[in-house]
Amino acid sequence: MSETVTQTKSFGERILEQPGPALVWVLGLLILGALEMGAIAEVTVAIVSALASAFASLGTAVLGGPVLPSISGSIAGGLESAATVAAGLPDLVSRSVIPNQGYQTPDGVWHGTFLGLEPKYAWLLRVALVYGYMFVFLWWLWRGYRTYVANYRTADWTPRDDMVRRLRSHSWGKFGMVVVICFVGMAMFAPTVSPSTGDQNMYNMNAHDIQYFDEETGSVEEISVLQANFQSASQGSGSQNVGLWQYDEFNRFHPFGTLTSPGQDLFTFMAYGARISLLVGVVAISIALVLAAGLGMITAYYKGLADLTVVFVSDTIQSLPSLLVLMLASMVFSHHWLGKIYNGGLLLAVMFGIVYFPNMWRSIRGPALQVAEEEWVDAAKSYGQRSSTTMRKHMLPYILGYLLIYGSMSIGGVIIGTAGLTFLGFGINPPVPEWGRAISMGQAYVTTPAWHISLLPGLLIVVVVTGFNALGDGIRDAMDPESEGEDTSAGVGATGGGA
Amino acid sequence: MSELLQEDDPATNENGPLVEVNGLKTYYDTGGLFGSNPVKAVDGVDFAIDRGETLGLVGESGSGKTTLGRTLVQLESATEGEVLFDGTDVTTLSGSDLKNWRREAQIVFQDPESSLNHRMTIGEIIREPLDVHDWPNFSVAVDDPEDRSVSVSGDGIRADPNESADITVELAGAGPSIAVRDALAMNADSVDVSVSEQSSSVSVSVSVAVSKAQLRRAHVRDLLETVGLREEHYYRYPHQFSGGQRQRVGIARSLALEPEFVVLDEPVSALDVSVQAKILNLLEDLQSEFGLTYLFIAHDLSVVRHICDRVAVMYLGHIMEIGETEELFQNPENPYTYSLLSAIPEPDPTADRERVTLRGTPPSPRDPPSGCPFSTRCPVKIRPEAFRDVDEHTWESVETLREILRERENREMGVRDHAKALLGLETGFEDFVDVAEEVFTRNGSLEAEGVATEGLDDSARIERALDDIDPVAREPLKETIELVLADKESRAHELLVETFESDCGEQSPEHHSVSDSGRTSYCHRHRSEFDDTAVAFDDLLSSAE
Ligand code: SF4
Repeated sequence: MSETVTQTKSFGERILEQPGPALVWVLGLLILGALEMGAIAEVTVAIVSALASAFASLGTAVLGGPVLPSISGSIAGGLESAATVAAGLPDLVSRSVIPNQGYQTPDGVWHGTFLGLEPKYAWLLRVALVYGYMFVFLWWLWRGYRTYVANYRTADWTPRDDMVRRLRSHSWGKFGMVVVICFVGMAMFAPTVSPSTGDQNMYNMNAHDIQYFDEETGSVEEISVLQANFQSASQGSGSQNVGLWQYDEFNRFHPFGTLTSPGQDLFTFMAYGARISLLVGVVAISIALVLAAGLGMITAYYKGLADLTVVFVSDTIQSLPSLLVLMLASMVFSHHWLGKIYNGGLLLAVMFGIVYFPNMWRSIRGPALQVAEEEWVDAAKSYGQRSSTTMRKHMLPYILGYLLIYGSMSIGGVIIGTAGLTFLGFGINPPVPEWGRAISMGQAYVTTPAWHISLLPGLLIVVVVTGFNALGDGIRDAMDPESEGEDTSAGVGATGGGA
Repeated sequence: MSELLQEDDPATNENGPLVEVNGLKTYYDTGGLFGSNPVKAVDGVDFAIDRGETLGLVGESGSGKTTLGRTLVQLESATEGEVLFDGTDVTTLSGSDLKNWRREAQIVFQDPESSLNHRMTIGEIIREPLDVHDWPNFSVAVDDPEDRSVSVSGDGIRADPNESADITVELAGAGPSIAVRDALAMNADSVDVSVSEQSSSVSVSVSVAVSKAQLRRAHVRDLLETVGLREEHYYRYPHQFSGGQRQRVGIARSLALEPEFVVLDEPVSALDVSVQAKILNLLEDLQSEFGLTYLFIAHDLSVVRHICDRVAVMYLGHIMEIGETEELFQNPENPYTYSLLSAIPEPDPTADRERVTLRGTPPSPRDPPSGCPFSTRCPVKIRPEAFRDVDEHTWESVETLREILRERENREMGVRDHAKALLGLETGFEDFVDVAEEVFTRNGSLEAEGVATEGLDDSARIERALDDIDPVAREPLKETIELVLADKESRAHELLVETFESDCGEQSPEHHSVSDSGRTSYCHRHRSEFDDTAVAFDDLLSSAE
């Protein structure tokens, strides 16, 4: 009976019994959190205000007028003060702690940068700190999981353990995971890792001034960012070019060089662009996955008419030329409120989700039908389990892995598709940065010294898409040991192609 | 269950059978897209299962036995007929009535690999039914010597008089005395009862200090022990167990809701022989411990003989014979049962039953034969008067040819065949002469009989092949062959049927009572004008010698 006693303990009781490891972990988490308190608060506020403004514009669009202006006004006010508070919180790796913008006087001394370092070193330090922090944080979360498994979990083995073990020994999958983490980090910390800021570099160039040392006048001058950018734009000729790892004449450091007129910093553009790509990709894939998973389980569970209906709908969608549909939708909705949210980003995400779901559903359908045939599904029915619960408990866990595989493999396709559409002039409108636009801007200069404008975004897209595919491969092999060692291009997942 | 029984008329017969099945049919694919033939998996069965007994259900795969079992627990919906459980027709239940009834009838599945969700721990698996039904419901029975009207409030609900209550409150004596049912892992101290008595009514308020979650966990642990597993298995996953252990888990899950009736769908056929006996013993122990009623589905006849009180033999959706196990095994009355039993090696070498091999495979349940379902394969099928005395080879040839034509008539025609038929093009038999030769010659071909086929044209070949056939049957067979060669296959089939058919293929038999113990058999041979099965088989086997 002694075993009975140990087994009835709840999670809380098990922690109380042996608090050491849990305490250590929570303490570590608090320290890590404290270092980035400001960023965490800022991100939270940013998300809330983005949501609030989306709702407000939705309300405006749907009801034809501002909804309850006083309320939205007070919310906006509250958010603003929250943002101020958030900005005041300590933040180890923010740009204000390690500034990289400044000017150099003839004596070689840098003014305004972190500890008077050269801007490129200040920037490098900041980027290194951001990524370092991020990886330490993720590692700490992983350690938390290990601590839980080692000390507090009741089961000494679960089927998930095997998957985790297989994923850990899958180097191609781990490579993909690292690439994906770097990409997500770039998007999340775009304001911090960029040499400039989005507002300064893209949205509001005229509202910002910078100081620089003018050799002609021999004094420190002020110039608006707009003008400075115009003068430092890469135009492909030797004198009119700011390439990789160079300073422009205003003492600004451009790790990836500058864009063509109006001459934004390419790295900043890319970092903010990563946000768009990630957002469109994640939203599109989430829509596709939710549709595919929900319909996949319903069709597998009920079969018959439900199945036929979905087959018909998905066939219809698949028979349309998706690229044309996407272009058409961007055109038609370009002046509609839906097309204005995030400069077309949301519209694109929704359209991609709809275009991608039939394929996803078809891929999910086989596994879903298979698990619906399992006797445990019948067993659940035999004791009267509700069908929705049966699907969630007895079917979803078995197709979740497939969802992850197809999701990570298709997100690359969405990223390429978004870039492609933007390249063609549809998709995401300026000034919201999108990698495809950078490629199209640099297209005329590929044979000139300004080759970096097209090449770097192009390379990055390839790397990111490969990373997502590698992660998908890793997950697939972790889920299904039989496919281990197989040719990675064969097997379940189709690689994500263009739109 | 409680509501269910209250709705019932009080005439619910406690002594009658627990399960009574009347005219039950379960068809699949009814009203399909093209109005195709449904699969008649269960095609009209009647039987009853008494309380506490084990009824075996045997048959080849495809006989519909599993579908029948699944229909009894409402995993399939019946197309026609009724399933009376304690007098209630459960095929008409839906919604919460159906859910409540499900507690009473559970099923143990065949494949322990597939019946347990691998992503859940054993504890979660066994606990799930309890969570679904919010077990225990703390039903309170009040024992009032003055028989006043009783109302229950608080954690408890009023118990159904037909069910054993979770908590029993006895009002006699000084204070109320409380008793808790054994299946609940708590003692009476955990229950707090306050009673307010009026002259004509009593209201009882119950509060329970133990949480339902705790009781469920304890119940699951009890179940684990009951089926021969250990408490610490609670947090393990199915993959960590052997097949036999997993089947124990499946059994524990089916018992969690304390059912009265359990369908055992080939519960040991996926297990090692060494484990089978243990599981069978466990099932027997559980039956006597909990007073369970079993429907034991199996294809292994020796297992059935070991564990079942009565046996039903199923073929193509029909129950061919049903009766007491020993009696049926020792003295089968139905030709199908007879053939089936003769196929298993007789443990008693002195037994004089000889082996009968069945010809062909069972017909598709989409197109069952008319008349007796066994008529296409029955070795002792009744012959029409005129052919009663033809030799065995002739009869066999006729039956084989009929089967070939029948199958061709029922085969699934592809689009091409349909198109050809529409255009009046030939869809016919390409090598019919070869087939005829093979069917009619004693040794399988003319060559094997030493006849030189060289130079013989088709009609001559057929003429020679028919030499082996009894003269009485030659004429109609020749005519049939000519029709087939003239591409009039369906006419040919009709002719064969007209000439050689008896009651077996024309009328459905009746369920004749064949012994004092109530055994019935579905066969025309029990009519007084025909020989009994045993006699017919004796004749058959002696003629073969
Ligand atoms: S009815 Fe005829 S065919 Fe059917 S089992 Fe009896 S003898 Fe055989």
